Amino acid sequence: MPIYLPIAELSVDLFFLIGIGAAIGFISGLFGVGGGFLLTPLLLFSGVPAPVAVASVTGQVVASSTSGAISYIRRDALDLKLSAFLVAGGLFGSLAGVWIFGLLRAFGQLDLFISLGYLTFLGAIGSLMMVESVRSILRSRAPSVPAPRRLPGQHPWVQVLPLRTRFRKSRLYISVLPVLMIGFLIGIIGALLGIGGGFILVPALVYLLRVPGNVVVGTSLLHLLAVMATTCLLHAIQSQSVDILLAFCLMVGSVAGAQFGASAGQHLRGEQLRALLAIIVLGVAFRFALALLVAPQDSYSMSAALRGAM
Amino acid sequence: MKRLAAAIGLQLLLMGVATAQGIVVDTSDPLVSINSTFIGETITLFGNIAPGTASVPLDESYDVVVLVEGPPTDRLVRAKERSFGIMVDTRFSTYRDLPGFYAVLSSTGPRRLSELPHPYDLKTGFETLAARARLALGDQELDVELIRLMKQQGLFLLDARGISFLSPTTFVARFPLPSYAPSGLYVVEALAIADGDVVAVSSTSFTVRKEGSGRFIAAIAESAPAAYGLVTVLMALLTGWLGGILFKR
Repeated sequence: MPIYLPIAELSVDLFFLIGIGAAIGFISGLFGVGGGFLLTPLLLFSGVPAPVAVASVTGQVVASSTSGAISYIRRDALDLKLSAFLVAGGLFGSLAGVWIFGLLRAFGQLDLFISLGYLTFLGAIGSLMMVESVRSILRSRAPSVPAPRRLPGQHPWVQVLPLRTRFRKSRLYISVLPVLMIGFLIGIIGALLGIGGGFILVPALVYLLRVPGNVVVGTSLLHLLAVMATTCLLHAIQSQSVDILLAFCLMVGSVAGAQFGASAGQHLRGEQLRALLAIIVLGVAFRFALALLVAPQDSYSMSAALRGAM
Repeated sequence: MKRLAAAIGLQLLLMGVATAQGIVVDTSDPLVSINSTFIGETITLFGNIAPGTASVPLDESYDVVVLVEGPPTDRLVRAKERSFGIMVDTRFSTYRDLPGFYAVLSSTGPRRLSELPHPYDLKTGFETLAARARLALGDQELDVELIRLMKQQGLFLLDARGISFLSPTTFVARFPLPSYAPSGLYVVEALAIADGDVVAVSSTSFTVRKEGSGRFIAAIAESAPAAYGLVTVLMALLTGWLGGILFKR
């Protein structure tokens, strides 16, 4: 059943949209990630214009992180003060990201930037995840070698920064500067690439700031929710490329799919899951590399021109 | 059957009007709606030539050319080339107020279309349209690609046998309107040609309109972007919250 997307200005099959929403939701439930980093590329590959794909997925990320964030708030499994500082940084990041997005679009280089951005991010993170999970799978098969435990502690540069404050819930006494900085960077990336950034934020909080495991996921979800809601609003105001119908179809699919993914995930081991996710991430990165490296069949393309640009 | 009846009715009506202008043309469908399931439509135009009126000579075999011009749109054409090993958009050309749809239909066959007297010879070629719309900084070499891409999407259309005669003076023109066709006013111009000369001209118009929720949404997104964004965010929060409750295990 075709459905006309008013902002993207094209007809797409309704069941295709709900289907990819559900597939991404399943994956996000399975691995505990937002799924924006897979959803935006999928939309791009199926012909949705880049500005519309990026801006509309921000709405989908809001929906997919809402129910998670609520349940973490109920269980009090998050650090509100840490979240507040992250969000403060994130809001500025989001503003900066939407501004850069507009600039790139005006200069006609947005598509190239999005492709390069995804290639770099997914390539790097996919490779890291792959190496890490293969190592831990091998280690579990050779039980005689004890896993080397890293000592708890922060990176030295985190400790020397000024403006230290106490985050009681996380049992941390650190400077607010790295917290603001991390929030800011994730905010920029989120606005530019249409991803929540949970799969970067969680490792950053754990490895750079040593945020304990029991509050890290909730804290990161609250950050995603607040920053992506702002980004969605800013995109709607600045670039007017949020397609509410597209976002809604994706949300409905993903919210349902996530629940099935979460229950399927209980039957798989952690390192197997991570290896699987790494394969998917690398697959998407490979697809972007192909688009950049291989000359397209038609080297000319036509799109609607923006008034005021150039 | 209903269509045929409507067509015949239209014909009878046209016969009366044609006497004043020499040629007359009208559409069977003055309003085309683009709704959420629009996949394109065939537009039919009916027309009539009245010999002996205006400057239409008697006892001739006539040819007809129909030009359909859609509302103006802005287009950007980009050329990808290899640079530092990756494919990058290197050349651009912006076209402002280019007809978002342009069809040239004729009964003459391809050969005689370019032999029409000025300015009609220019109106039957897409090159003039592209050159006129191209902004100063644009790349002239990309005009050809613009025309090719517009043709590929069915937005530029040349059909030298797109008009058929039902009788020596009655003609019908058909052309497909693709789903990408922009909404707005479409102006139709019909030229009666006798012995290589344009002997009568007439015009009509039809409207393509986005209907239903799609049009409403696009209008809101443009006129009240902040409210539109807020509604999107609230909808996302609500969907997420409801989903969490409905699928709670």
